[in-house]
Order: sequence, then C-alpha cells, then structure tokens
Amino acid sequence: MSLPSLPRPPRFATTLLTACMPSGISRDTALGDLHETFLDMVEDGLPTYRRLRQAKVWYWKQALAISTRYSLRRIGKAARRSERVEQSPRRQPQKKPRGPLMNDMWKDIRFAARLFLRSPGFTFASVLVLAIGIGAVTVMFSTLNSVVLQPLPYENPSELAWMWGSSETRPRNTVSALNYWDYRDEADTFESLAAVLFFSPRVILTGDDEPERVLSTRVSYNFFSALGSSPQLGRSFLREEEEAGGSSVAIISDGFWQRRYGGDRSIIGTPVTLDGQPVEVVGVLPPGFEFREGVELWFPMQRAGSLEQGRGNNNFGIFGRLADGVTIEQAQAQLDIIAERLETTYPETNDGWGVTLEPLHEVFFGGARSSLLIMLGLVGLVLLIACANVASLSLARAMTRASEVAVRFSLGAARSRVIRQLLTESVMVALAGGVGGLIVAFFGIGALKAWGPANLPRLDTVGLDGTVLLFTFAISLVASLLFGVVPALRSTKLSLSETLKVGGTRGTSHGKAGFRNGLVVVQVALSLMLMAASGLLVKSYLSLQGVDPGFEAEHVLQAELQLPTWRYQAPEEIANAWSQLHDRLRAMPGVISVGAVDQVPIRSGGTWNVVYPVERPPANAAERAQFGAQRRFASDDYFDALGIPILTGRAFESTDRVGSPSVLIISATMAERWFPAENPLGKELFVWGQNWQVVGVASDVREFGLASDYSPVFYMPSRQVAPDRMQILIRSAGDPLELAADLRRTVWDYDRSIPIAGLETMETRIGNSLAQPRFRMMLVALFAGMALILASMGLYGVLAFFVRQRIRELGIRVALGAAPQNVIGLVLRRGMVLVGIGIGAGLAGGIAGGRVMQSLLFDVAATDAVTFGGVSLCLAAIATIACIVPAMRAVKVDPQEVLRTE
Amino acid sequence: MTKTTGYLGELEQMVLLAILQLDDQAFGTNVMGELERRVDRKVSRGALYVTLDRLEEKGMLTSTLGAPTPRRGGRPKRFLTVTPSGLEALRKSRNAWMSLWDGLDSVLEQR
Repeated sequence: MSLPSLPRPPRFATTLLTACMPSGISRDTALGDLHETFLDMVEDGLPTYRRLRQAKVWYWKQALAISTRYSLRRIGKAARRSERVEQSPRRQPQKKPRGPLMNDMWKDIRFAARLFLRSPGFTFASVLVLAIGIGAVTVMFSTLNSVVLQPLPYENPSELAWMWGSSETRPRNTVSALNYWDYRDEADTFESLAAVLFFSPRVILTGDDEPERVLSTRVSYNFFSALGSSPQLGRSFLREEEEAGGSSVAIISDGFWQRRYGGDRSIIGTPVTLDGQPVEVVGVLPPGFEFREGVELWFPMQRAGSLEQGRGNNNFGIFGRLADGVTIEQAQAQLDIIAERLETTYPETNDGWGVTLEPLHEVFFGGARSSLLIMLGLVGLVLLIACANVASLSLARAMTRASEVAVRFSLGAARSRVIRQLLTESVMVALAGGVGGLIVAFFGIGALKAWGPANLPRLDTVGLDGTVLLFTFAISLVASLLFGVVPALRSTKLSLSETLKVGGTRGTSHGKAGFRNGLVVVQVALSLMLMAASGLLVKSYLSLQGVDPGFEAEHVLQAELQLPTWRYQAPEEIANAWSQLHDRLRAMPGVISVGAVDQVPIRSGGTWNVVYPVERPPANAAERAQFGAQRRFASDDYFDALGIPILTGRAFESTDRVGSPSVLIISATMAERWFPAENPLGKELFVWGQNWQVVGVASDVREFGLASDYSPVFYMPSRQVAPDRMQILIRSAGDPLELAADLRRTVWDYDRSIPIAGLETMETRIGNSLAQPRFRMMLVALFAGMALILASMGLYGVLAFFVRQRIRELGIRVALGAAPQNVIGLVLRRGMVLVGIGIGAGLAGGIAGGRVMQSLLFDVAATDAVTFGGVSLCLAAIATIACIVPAMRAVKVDPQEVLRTE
Repeated sequence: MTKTTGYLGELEQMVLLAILQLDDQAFGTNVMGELERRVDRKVSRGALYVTLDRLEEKGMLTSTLGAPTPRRGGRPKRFLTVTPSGLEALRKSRNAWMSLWDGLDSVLEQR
C-alpha cells in the first residue's frame, strides 16, 4: 500500500471562509482548527471514501455557518456605523467613516431594495427570466457534476488505469487470462494489476428457498485490494485460490447477503449450492460496493477454468493501480516492452497485439461527458439570451430613471459611485435570480430523474451539493456583470442639461436604441442556434428511428433461459432439452414461430472469433486481424422467428445436430468480405480448431444498435454446439407480452429449475436503445422553446418601446391620413430588420459551431441546409407575431390624445 | 473601543471562564470541548470565533500563535489568554451576580 498524501478539505469551502472572514490571525487560526478537525475525522480509522465524504460535508457545514455569521456581523457593523454617521453629521463633518466601501454598499443595497419594491413588475420579470436561465444551467451542471466530475467510489481513483488489449483494428479490446498473468508477473510499475471477467454469467443458486439466478463474475485474487476495498465480513480471495484446483469459494455482495440470508453472519464458511456445486462463502462485501452493475457473486478466476484457457480468448477486463510516483506513460512504456516480448513468444495469438492504458474514470464516464458538455454549452446559450433579455429590460428602465441619475450627477455624485449603485442593483437581481434558479433546478432535477434515460450512469446521484451551489452563485455573479455593466455605463453617460430639459421622459439617443437593438439581434441569433441544434437532433432521431434493424421487431417476445448445467451435461442432452422446449413453446396458442439465439441483436458488445477460409489462411497477424467476425449460436427457426431472410442456401435444419457435419451460416456482409466475387456456399471456414462448411447466407442485421454499421456475423447451429444459455424469441399473432405468463408456465412445466430472465419485447429493446438520443432531443427542444419565448419577449419589448417613443410621430402620421397598413409596415419593418440580422448571425454561428454537435447526430450533417432553412422560417414567423402586437397598437393611436398631451 | 460600560454577555463569560480553566491549553477546538464537557453547552464554531474576536477587540483576550503544522494545513494554532482587563470584567460580573443572588437562597431552595 502506498502512503497516501494527507487529504485536503474542500477547496471552495476554504475559499468561501477566506472571503467572508476578516484577514488576520483569527482567520488563519480558525482555518487551522477546521483543517485539523477535518483530518481527525478522516483518519478516525482507515481513510475510506465514505468517511472522507462525511468529513467534507462537516467542513462545508462549518464553512457555511461561520461565513454566514461573519457576514452578518459585517453588515450589522456597517449598518451601525452608517446610522452613527447619519445621526451625527455635524459633530464629525470631516471624518470619513471607516470602510467606505462596505458602508456605501449597505446603503446601495437598502436603496436598491426600496427601488425594487416600487417597481415590482420589472423586478419580477428580471428575476423570473434569470431564474429560468440559471435554473436550466444549474440542472445541466449538477448532472455533469454527479455523472462525470465526481471521483469513482474507490480509494485514490486517480491511480487506477484500465488496460485495453489493442490491435490496429480493435483498439479497445479485452485481454485473455494467460496474457493477463504474464503482464501481472512482469509489470512492476503497478502496485497491483487486477482482472475481471468482461461479462456477468448467471449462476443458479439452489437451497432451502426458491432457485434464484444471480449475476456473477470472476476476478483475480487482488481485485478488491486493487480498488482499495476489503470485505466487511470474512476475507478476500487468496492467491492460491487462483491456482488450478483451488478450492471453490465465493464472495457475496452486501445486498445479496441481506436479501437472501437476512444478514446472518454465520454465512461465512457455510457451503451454498451454486449450479449444483457446493461453494464456500468466504466474504461479504461492504454496502455500496459495485463494479459492474447487478453483480452479486464474485468467484476467483482459476488457471484451469474454461474461461481462462487459451491466449486468444480475450475474456477479461484488466485494470491496475499505478505504483507510487509512476505516471501512466511510464507504465505504458513498460507494458509495451512486455507486449513485444509476448508477441515474439506467442506469435500465433499475440502478433499485432499490444496494450493501451486509459484512466479508469475516462473508461467509465468519458462517453457521457462529451454529450453532457454539449448540453451544458447549449443551455449556456439559454442563459445568455436571458441575460440579454434582462439587460434590455434594465436599459429600458434606465431611460425612465435618466432624470434620477442626472439629479445625482448635478448634486456632485461621482460617475463611479453611480455606476456602483447600478451594479449593486444588478447583483441583487442576479442573486435573486440565482435563488430562483436553485428552485427551478430543484424541480428540474426531479423531472430529470423521473424522465431521464435509465442508462445514463449515476443519474440517481444527481443533486444540489456544495459545488453546484457555488457554481450557481458564480454564474449568477457573471450573469449580473453580463446584463449589468453595459446598461450601467450607458445610462451614466448622459448629457446633463439635455436630460433635465426634456424632463427625462423621452431622453434617448440613437446610440442607446442601437444597443438595445443589438441585444435583440443577439437573442434572435442565439435562439436560431438553439432551434437549429434542436432541429438537427429531431431529424437525426427520425432517421435513426427509420433505420431498418434487419429484422422484424414487431410481435416478438424475448426471454433468456438457462439450462441448469448439473442436470443437462452431455451436448445431446442439452440439444434435446432445447428441442423439446422449442416444440412446447411452439404449441402455445397464438404463437407463430419460435427461435433462439445466444446473443440478440441491438446490443452493446458481442463475442467474436477469428474465422478464415480454409483455402486462404492468413499469412500474418495483420491479415488474421481482418478475419474477426461476430459469432452467434442460432436455432433452426431463429431466422424465421426474427424475420431475417436467408439470401442463398438454407437455414439450419434438424439434421444439423451433434455429430453431423459442421455447418455455418454467414451474414451478407461477411459473405461479401470473405468471399468477394465468389459463391460462398459450400466453402469451408476454419474456426474453433476445425473446418465448417457454409450452407447459407443470411441478410444483415444491426447487431450493435440502429446507429451501427452492419458487422460480419457467422452463425453456428445451436443443435451442434449445444449452449446452456439461449435467448428465446417468440413471434406471436397478438400482443407478445400476453404470452409471458404462458411462456413461464410452459417452461416450468418442463423443468421447474430453469430460470427465466430478461422478458421484454424486441420493440422495447429497440426503444430502449433510442432512450438517450430521444432524451437529448427533448431536452434541447425544451431549451430551444425557452430561447424562443425569451427572444420573442425581447423583440416585443423593443418594439413596444419604439412605438411609445415615437407615439407623437405616429399620431401625426395617422392624423394626416396615413393608411393603417403603412403604419403597421413602419413598425414591422423595424422589427423584421432586427430579426433578419439576427437570423443571419445565427446561421453563421450555427454553421460554425454546429460541428461540435456532429458526434450526437446520426445520418444528418451538422450544417444540414433543410434544418437551418426550416428553423429560420419558423423563427421569422414567430418573430413576426411578436412584432405585430406593438404594430397594431401603433395604428390604434388616437392623434388628438397624443397631440394634446404634448 | 477598549472600554465598555456594560456587563459581559453570558457566552462571553462562559468563554472567558473556560479559557481560564484550560490554562495554557486554551485554543478554539478545546474551548468548545470544555464548554460542552463542563456545562453541556454546545457552541457553534462560528459563534465561538465571533465571540473570541469580539473579546479580543474589547481587550479582554490576547492570543499567541503556535507553530504552523502540516496537519493544520500550514496554519498556526491560536492559544488564548485572558488579560487583566478580562479578569476585571469577570470580577465585575461576578460581583454583580453575587449581589443580586444575595439573600435569595431560601426562596430558591423551595423548589
């Protein structure tokens, strides 16, 4: 074990304290006290992830409480001081009070508060708009924060790296057990190098209770210690348990221990029956330990085990904890040398194969991060629009306050002082918006959890924590600068005499109107970008939905069955059992056909083998690598049940059984690549150490989801290979789910000990594979909708203001007999010019920035002309409506009224 | 602001007395522990630090600094000592209480 460096208290909390407490020994020593107590809490025993988190929470609480107290004290002091100054201005006329900044700030705050109360409409509108923007950003940020920014729940997770087996064509592959052991023996740049089976077989537990299928996996003896965990009860695996003939032992999860054994401590050392074999439970993992979802049983890998045989059987995922002070590059350099040696020692299997290290966090969450970052970027645009909107509102209000500002100037106020007052108001609005944003975020996160895609990792842990609060606080301040600075600068740049002369009601200059127009252009442009993003995702989703999966998914029910291996052992027995089950299921009412396959299409990974034509064996490793194809076991009726056409040759038949000539069916893509310009029928392929004859070519299927290309696939007849686990596919006449109960009864009538799992329709399976793109599409559509509403409001506001400004001119026009459509045209034209410029700018920005979206799109270019054209038209139409309302008001101007008031 | 006319507040008094009890081992975390141990009074850190600062401003406390250690994030420890004027204030408070308590023992003993 390396000596870990001392953990540090949360940095932001310390920063907060430093900011809120007055500098001096009092602050230094208080921080020291907190630091020390924090360490005491962490080191109360072994530092574990959970204790560290508790200590951090404690530290945060202390920081917030202490900061609040000191801030209140400061405000209280300032208030008392300012009261003293106000009460006795004559006694100390020269002496300035201490801390003029704090003093002024307190005054500014009180002044602003009074002002807000006087114009609640403006305040409410600004706060609401900001709350929506900040809330949306906060939801996305807290998702990002929980899903990808949090460290993995293992000790010092930054030291953990994943080791991919890599070749030119397969950069991220698993590794065989034999290679793993060689790497582990030689690589001293790792403190420990551990292995875990890359899939989770189900084992059947029998005993006093009902038989139960439990997800299991096999791991190296040092797997738990490499992660920095150890069982809460019992022990970890021993090194000798990894050897051939090691005793049968297992470690169980806390959840399983509680559920199945009621937390009985005597489980340690007790043999349980798994797959008909006695296995001794030696340990119970601590609560919350998870590495691969749902796994509850952990076995040691064993040198003689079937999954551990063969250097080419890449069944294991490898990861390691780097030794002290070793960088990932140094470790990689050492692994490269080992890989090279293995290549020369075992050219047959290792030629062309090396390994690549990648930080574990990246392996787990790298994928989710990029799409979440894009979402955060898009929602940032919504916040920008909100800021532009509020800036526009503040400017409009600044006009009405022009005379107030002018009076302040004429009474000798410095410009900087007035600007400070205006900025204080902005900050207050922004902070109120931030608080509102947190409320929006609170509900937003609830909605996200309810409707978010279930396959987004760690979604359930999303919440508002210290980091998120600080982030919200920070963006509120940034927002206040965004919408506050320019209006503050502009409205203090008045010509005094002019403003006072006209009484401040119409005091405007073209420059100011120009700036407001600019803000509208920005809002329209950003909205267009968001709408384009949304349009692209919709189009992408539609084309994804329109993809032909290569099979007919409608009316197909899928269920996973596993034959207990202790009852069905000989291949003939297994084949016979499947055949009888098939016949019984086929006889159920409403069933059209029944097929079976070991791995159903639309999945995230699959088994592959090197398979090559007997007449053209690969000359070297590079050629060999070209012959990797997905391997499936399929029953006679599999192609029929899923509606996959056999293009040439035949499907499997009942005569393709154990002992008969070995035959294969290959997919169209495989036929094309393996036998270009040849008839594949009758050709022999070499795989699994023997020759197989191609008897048919099946149409292609999207094995890895709708967005994937066709992969080469070869099918082995399940009657010949007799696998103990199959996915049954039942095509029905009516609703396939209605068959579920019948299916259970039929299977259990045959053998009560066969567990059934994973009952779902193929349509659901496809739907689930689309959950993430669908969710992204809906989310961005929501952003675009918000943007559109905000931008329309902005546009409306500017035009309404324009009409009010020029009410006299319009009145005269109407009085002189201007046709209503001309007056409407005048206002509309003004609006549409802004919209036009905005759309132009948005198109340019969208096309330039659209490239980052490409990774989220399927079969749609990020610069798709139809989408951009469509959303431009749509935006223009909605903008026109936003312009028409103020234009109509211009027509209704009563000339007499207007001229009289002037 | 070294002179105040009023009496010490309750927490101020408790803190000063706890510091005296702790003698040369009086620093922030210990004072909290002492208050909790002796009179079961739980004080938040924020309240304690503000009180200490206020007492120091009033000249009733002085602090000396211990050596900074890595365990404290390189920050020093603040050892607290009650000044003569602090003692004087305590004395004054005690006298005030005593004279108010005087002769009331029989009343209070009834229940």
